[in-house]
Amino acid sequence: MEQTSRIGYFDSHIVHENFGDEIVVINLKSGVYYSLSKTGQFIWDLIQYNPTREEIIHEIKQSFDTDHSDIAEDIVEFLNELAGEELIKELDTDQKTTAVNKEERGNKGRYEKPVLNKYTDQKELLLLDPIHEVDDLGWPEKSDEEDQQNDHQA
Amino acid sequence: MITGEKGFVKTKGEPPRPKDYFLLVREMSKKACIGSDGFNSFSFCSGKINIRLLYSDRSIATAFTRSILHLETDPGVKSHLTIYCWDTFTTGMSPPFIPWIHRTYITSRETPYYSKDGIFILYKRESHILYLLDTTSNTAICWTEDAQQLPCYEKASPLRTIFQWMVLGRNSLCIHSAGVSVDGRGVLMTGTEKSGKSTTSLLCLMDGMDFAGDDYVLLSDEGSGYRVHSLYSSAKLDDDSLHILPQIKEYMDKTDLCNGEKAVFYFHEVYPERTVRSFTASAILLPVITGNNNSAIRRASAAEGIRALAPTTLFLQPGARKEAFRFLSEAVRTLPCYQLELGTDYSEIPGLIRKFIRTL
Repeated sequence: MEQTSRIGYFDSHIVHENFGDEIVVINLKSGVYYSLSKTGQFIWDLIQYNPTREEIIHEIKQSFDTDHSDIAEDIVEFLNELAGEELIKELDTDQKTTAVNKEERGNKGRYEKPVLNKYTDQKELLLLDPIHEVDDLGWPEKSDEEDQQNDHQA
Repeated sequence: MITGEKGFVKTKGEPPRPKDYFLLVREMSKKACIGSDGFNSFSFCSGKINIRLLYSDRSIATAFTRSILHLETDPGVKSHLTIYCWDTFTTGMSPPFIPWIHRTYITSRETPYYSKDGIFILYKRESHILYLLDTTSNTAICWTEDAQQLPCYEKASPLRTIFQWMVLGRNSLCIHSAGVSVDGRGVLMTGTEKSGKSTTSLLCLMDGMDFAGDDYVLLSDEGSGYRVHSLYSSAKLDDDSLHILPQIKEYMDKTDLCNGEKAVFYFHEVYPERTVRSFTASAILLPVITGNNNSAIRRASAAEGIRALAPTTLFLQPGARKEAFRFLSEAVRTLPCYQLELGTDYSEIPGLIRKFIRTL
């Protein structure tokens, strides 16, 4: 994940919800689900603004009490883990969706290394009865020629 | 290259479009299900949805209605959905082959599924069963080659795919959960395979509590609160559970095992007076086996609730998983969640739950 690339959620196959002190994320493609709290929850929440890696590190330093020298390393490792699980991705765009609302953030207390809690106990269930939505790929499309013929007849 | 499947008839020329495919199979279904005295039918209701099931043969009715007999309604009630149920074995007819089964799906174990413009089509290869729904005409179709060969789990929770499609956008969801109640108020009990969910819910039934379901129930958001509606009167139990509940053994259908190990108990047939159509949902219990002697109930967070409830419900949901997740998230925020720590003294568990429900 490039330092200057903007980051966003992998919206096509994840669902996530904030339950106050914990965020639950489900990867609908793999059947794995995750929970995030504290610093991890803060970072996940930030990703809605499509920040760069540098902006995330900056926000962490602004919002948490820390003399931790390995913050950048922690964050890069954490973001790589999220990307490896196909929960986030680099975006093509260079634009933020909206500005980060710093006033809402306030002081988050002492910094702790972000942790991604991973649950794989439902993977087997998914593999037992996988459902794959088919669309244009699955249902053969009419050829352009046929469409033109139908238009002509109409 | 596109390949047909066992039991389907390959037609000449271009395969029909989804809507045309549905219309073709619907015409076939009408012919299959009409008898000399009109349609053979069974009317039932879950939640606020009245359904009329038309079937081709008595054996089809037996296979598809045993676990929904407790939901039977007056056939004169106007239905919201008509489902045609038939098989090739009793009618001699076969549907046209499914054009969207792409070569890649043949080699994988994935279930192809189509949903667009109100047409839903799903073919479950494992069960050899085809489901279709058209929400414009509120007509559904369920076909299989031989209903007698249906796997046990399809008969234990029949037509679930159609119910799941049908309740979309109706503030309701089919959820993977048991439902027990006392005096019209009760709890959802949800957990993974070895959480003790079925054993606990059946201990409650044996103790005289009301029962709406063991595996799947319908949860509706009524605006003023949530309501649990019964779907199936079937409960699947393995040998470990039967060891705890030996009195159920004599009622189990051991001739038809689910997943090679679980036998089915149709509780409505034994306890009709304890089988309820619906109740007010007051909480969500998340059973977990502790190994301690005594059982206990402690408050859990909404996040713990969604982690227990969402995966098993979402992954059995054909499409609309994101909408289903939002629905479940709202439900766990509204309904308080509790961890049910199951001890080894099983005799105290129903009393604990009964007392707990009465405090809600």
